[in-house]
Amino acid sequence: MELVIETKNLTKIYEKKVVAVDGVNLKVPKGAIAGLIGHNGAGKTTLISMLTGLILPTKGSGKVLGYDIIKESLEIRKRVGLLPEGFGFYDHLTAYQNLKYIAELNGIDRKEADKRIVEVLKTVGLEKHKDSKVKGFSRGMKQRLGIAQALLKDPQLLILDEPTVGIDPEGAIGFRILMRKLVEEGRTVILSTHLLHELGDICDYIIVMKQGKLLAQGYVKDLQREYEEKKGYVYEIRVRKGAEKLYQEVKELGEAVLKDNVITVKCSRDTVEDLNSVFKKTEGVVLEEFKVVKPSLENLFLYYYYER
Amino acid sequence: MGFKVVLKKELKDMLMSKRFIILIAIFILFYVAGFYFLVTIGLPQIRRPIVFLLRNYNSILGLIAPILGIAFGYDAISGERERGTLRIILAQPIYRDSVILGKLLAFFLLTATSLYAATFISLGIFVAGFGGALTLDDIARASIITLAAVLLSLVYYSISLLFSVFSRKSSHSALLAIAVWIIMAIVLPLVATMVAFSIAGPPPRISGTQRGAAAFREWSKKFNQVRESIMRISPDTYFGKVANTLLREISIAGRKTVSLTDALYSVAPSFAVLTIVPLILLIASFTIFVRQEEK
Repeated sequence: MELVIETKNLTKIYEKKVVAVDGVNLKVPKGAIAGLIGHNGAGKTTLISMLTGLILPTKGSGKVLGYDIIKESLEIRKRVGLLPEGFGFYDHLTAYQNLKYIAELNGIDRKEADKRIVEVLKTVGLEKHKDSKVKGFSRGMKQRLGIAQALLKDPQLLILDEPTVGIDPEGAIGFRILMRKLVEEGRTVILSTHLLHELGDICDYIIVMKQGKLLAQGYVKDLQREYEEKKGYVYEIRVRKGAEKLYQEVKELGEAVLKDNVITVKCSRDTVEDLNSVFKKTEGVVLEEFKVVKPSLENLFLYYYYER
Repeated sequence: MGFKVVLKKELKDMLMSKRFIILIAIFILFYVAGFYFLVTIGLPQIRRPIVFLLRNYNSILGLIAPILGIAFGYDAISGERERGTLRIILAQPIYRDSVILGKLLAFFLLTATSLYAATFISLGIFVAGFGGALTLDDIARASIITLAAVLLSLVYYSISLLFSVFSRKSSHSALLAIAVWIIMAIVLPLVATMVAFSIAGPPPRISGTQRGAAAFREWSKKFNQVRESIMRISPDTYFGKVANTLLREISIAGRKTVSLTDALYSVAPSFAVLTIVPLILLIASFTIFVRQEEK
């Protein structure tokens, strides 16, 4: 597994007393859409700031895209597109002028900058507002412009801190599509948020933080498996005929609920064979659908946050 | 690289900013009013009208220079922080020192260019409009006084910048910077006068005798000494000293003009203060800002 981020015992203590990030050993694989999740104050922003060299760690070390976060932070910022939390733009300048300034700060020459500005504005759907002053932009438009500035340097790694705050539902859908597109282009994306529903199903890797500590990290499918091993599998049985009869049999195998001809049963993995037997022996039952319900991001978060 | 980009952007922003345009308008207004006043009192009758013109001009410079410094310094960092633009800038491959140095140099270039331009334009108007005699010595003196005004402006810029580096809100840094200016320009002269009176006591009655005149001179010397020692705290004092010293001798009719070199020797300590104070404050701002962490 090729890693784009790897940290060892990364720690940040503010003013010698507030431990914002506590001994984090982070690993982010290349090509992932990683969700960095945790409540406000979990240490997500501090972790991102350390990874991009905006603040220095108190202890520990780390590498981003192979560059040392302490000694080579400038190299990191050349290659990492960062959308910081609480960012802003120059209201008196147009979208183009703001991006031009960012391009100049990145040392992109004028011709190339013009080309890229048009491209990134198109990517985020702001091409029509190229020459509009940012003063008149809505929160969502500013957020999209923020993503545009992060994309301007054609980054291998994109770190977006609370990217969907203030975006309307339509914008959130567009955002997810954009994220998938970026990963298809070979980039790695880290999305930091405290709003789980904003992430939806776009993440394939998650990092859970609580009070500065890293509680869990891994591919969603691996964490789901771990969750299922510990908490049990959830099966959903949609029944066309004989739902009540089947429910009476199934509830002997595990925790079961019948609602609108759908039986949801929570049991161990081995029970699937018993379930098959029940289906076969129970007469007068017509099954419509049988599926395994994978734990949601919220299930995983709650499990790692409160139970493990 | 980053430094030059910041410098270019800041220069453009400053030049196009409303505050700069307003300050220039105020400057012109004061200048024209002063000029009009000189004309109405009979400029052609004055033996060396250039001195009166420069005196009027310097009093405007002494007022505008601190305002210019405060106007561009108070939100230099706190404004960027407040708008969230500092986060965007620092997310780029740029060192923190480039941000503060770019802003500082942009301010210095803008102030120096605009104040020198104003000085030479006003001298040009004087010559073209009134056919006034202007010597190289006059031009040199005017240039040196303008340099002192640029430095005075830099003092207030560096004070404001220091507050701006510390503050999260521009309104806080603006209030602090304005408070310092009011203290230096208004409160301190009043306090200095009051303290001087309380130390020197009431002035002796002028009886017309030689002894009475000597007593008054003694009292006056003591009073001025106390007042001047207190006023040394204010940077405005040093600008005033430079302007007065360079214009004093040539303004008094019939008195032998002190050479420019001699005048420069006597204003050198004032220039030293006007250079060292902003330097110290700028180093402090620079060091603090570079070590700060945007949480």
